[in-house]
Amino acid sequence: MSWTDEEIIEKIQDEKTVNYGFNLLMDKYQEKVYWVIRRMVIDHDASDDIAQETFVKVWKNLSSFKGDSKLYTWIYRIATNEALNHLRKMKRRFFLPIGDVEHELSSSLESDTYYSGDEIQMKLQKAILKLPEKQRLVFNMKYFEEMKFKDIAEVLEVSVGNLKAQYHHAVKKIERFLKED
Amino acid sequence: MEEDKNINDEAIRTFLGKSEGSDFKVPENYFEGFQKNVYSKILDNKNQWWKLPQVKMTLVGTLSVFLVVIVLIDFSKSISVAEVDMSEQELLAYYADNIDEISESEILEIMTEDDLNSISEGLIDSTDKKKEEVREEKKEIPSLDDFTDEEIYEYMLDEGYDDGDWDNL
Repeated sequence: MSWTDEEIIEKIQDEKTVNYGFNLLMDKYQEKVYWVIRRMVIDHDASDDIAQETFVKVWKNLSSFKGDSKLYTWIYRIATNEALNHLRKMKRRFFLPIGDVEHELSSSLESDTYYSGDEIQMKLQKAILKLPEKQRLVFNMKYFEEMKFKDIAEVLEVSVGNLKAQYHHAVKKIERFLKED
Repeated sequence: MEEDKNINDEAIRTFLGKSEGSDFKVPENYFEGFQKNVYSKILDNKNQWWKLPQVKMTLVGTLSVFLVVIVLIDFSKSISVAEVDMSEQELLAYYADNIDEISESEILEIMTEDDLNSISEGLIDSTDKKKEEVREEKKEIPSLDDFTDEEIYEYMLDEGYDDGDWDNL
């Protein structure tokens, strides 16, 4: 049985069924959240840690969730913020300029035991890694997670027009990178 | 949705269509154990009460107040003057021995108003005495007015001056 967000929220808001509601929430979103994070930070262990941290934060803030936004956009917002924070920390930890994060992530991708993409997939991933963080996030959410612009806009708190422009630029850049290589 | 299909990403889809299999993967049964890991993390966080933001803020607040108090106490403390039990004679002897090393302002600092008055009275007395002594000394040394012309004349003759020498004097 697939539970709707409204039903999950109902369970969470009832003290007697809050744990059950949280289990339902994780059942429904753990994979989606993991993949959004994984495509941003590449490394599995880091993604696992960030995904867990995302749900810990969701648990801690359940009482403050008033249903002003959709449940899944709220969860995605926490997940994307955690992923972006991880990348920022990475830059600070290694004193990396923005361009070198891409190099670091590319190396991580090549040595990742949990990456089995062929040459074409590797080429595409490396092209995606050349995008600025926010553009990469938009591209991954749209292209791989097949989210609607409206929902991505709600997660990232930007306008749909802005997102479309970012996605358009991302696609053009990736095409150019693929042709160059 | 129509609005979502107006950006052409076909080139990428065609490119990726040539590949086979999946790209990223996860360890076997990873998602089965995921919830358990999240719950143990939640429990860890609960047990680590010192990591709670409220606790952190309280600690930081208390520490700040403590530091402020320490700093205030230290700065408000005046430098204590060594209290040494010394007699007046000893003090006077000390000042007499070290008078060259003591500045006027230091002397004025330690002297009371009475001391200054007594010193000024003493100075006045001593000045009067000195004047009296000078006066007496002056009295002992006779001036020319104390002698008559004859006496002076006789004295000059005794000393070997002649009448002719008078003009040279």
